[in-house]
Amino acid sequence: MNRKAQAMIIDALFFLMLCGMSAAILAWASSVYGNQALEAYRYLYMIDIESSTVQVLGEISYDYQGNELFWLDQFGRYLEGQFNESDPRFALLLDNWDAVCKMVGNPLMVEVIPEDKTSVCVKQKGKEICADREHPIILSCRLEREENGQVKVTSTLESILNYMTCEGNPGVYEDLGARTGKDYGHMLFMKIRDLEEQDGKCGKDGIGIRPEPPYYASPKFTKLCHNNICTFYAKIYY
Amino acid sequence: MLGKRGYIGPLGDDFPSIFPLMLGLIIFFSTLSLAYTAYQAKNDTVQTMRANLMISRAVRYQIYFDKDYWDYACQLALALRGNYQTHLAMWIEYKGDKGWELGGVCPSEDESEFWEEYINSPSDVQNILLEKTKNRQVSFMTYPVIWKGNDGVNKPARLVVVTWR
Repeated sequence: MNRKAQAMIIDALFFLMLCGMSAAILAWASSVYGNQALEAYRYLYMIDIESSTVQVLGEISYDYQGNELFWLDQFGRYLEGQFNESDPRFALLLDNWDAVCKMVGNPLMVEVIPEDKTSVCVKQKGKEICADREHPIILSCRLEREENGQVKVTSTLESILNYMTCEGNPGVYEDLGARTGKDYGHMLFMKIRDLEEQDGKCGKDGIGIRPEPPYYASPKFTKLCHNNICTFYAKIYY
Repeated sequence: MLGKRGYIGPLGDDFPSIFPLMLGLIIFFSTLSLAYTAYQAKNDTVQTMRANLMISRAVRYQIYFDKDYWDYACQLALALRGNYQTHLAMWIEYKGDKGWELGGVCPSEDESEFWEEYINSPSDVQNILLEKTKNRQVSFMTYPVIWKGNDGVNKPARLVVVTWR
């Protein structure tokens, strides 16, 4: 073969290599942009879950002595001290909250912030706990991590404590729930604390949120009122 | 050239250059094929998720589900799915340790048994579905909704929308 033919073959090979490299780069780029598109759709999905959860919280009702009671309404009445933990209505509150935790299926935390009053105080076990706009009451669900890394919501016990702590400081949650006559195996947790979630920094009492995937707070807050009793700001951790 | 030492022949001289040429062609077409496959796979995933999101939003036009609206939602999902396969499943009535009661499956009631397992072990059902669909892209979305039972009270319920092509 003469030198000219050899040179042509080498040029052809070089051209083919370049084309191959371009194709590889295209594959990588489409993968990157595809991932970004997926992230955008996942975000929309979580926004949908959040708004649905807040809507549902405002509409759950149950029958009590022939009357239809709304969960959100009853929760507000409980916060106002209209009934206590020994009342059957409290057990129904816990029952339905349990169902909500299972219904959402993602780590769920709901902040309860009083709006109509400057503060709402609840007496439990001899202690008085007050909530105001800066110190919300927290409702949360228990999580268990399965072997494949997925988080499963099991009940309303201990919540997102496991990852809701600052470095070195264990989360401090007071168990203010009450066991009723029936053993539901769950407690309602209320904790007054400041919630800061900026880049994983800790709040004033050393409790914060690590925004590590797959758990991070929804950036969108939703306000919900029912009979002007309470305002809920729901944060979905996912 | 005839009679020169080392001269094999016109074809014989060119023969060694065929190997790098073939190798180059193989690498080139393999990379093109890889690029196309990667693009197609990612595109399928994105489009399936997009379709599922669209169908889910249409079906959840209202958060209240009862028997009538469930039937309507089923028809709506089947009308919107286009080239996709879409299934809806609704779990109502959380009963503590007994778990959830399956309220409805769309489009086929024959698949109730299949879906009953989903609520307790979603990853198992997803794996079964992936096998059934020959590992095509499948999108699962779960939403909280309200189920209006016969007693008129509003109960928290779970709606699952599954889409694949």
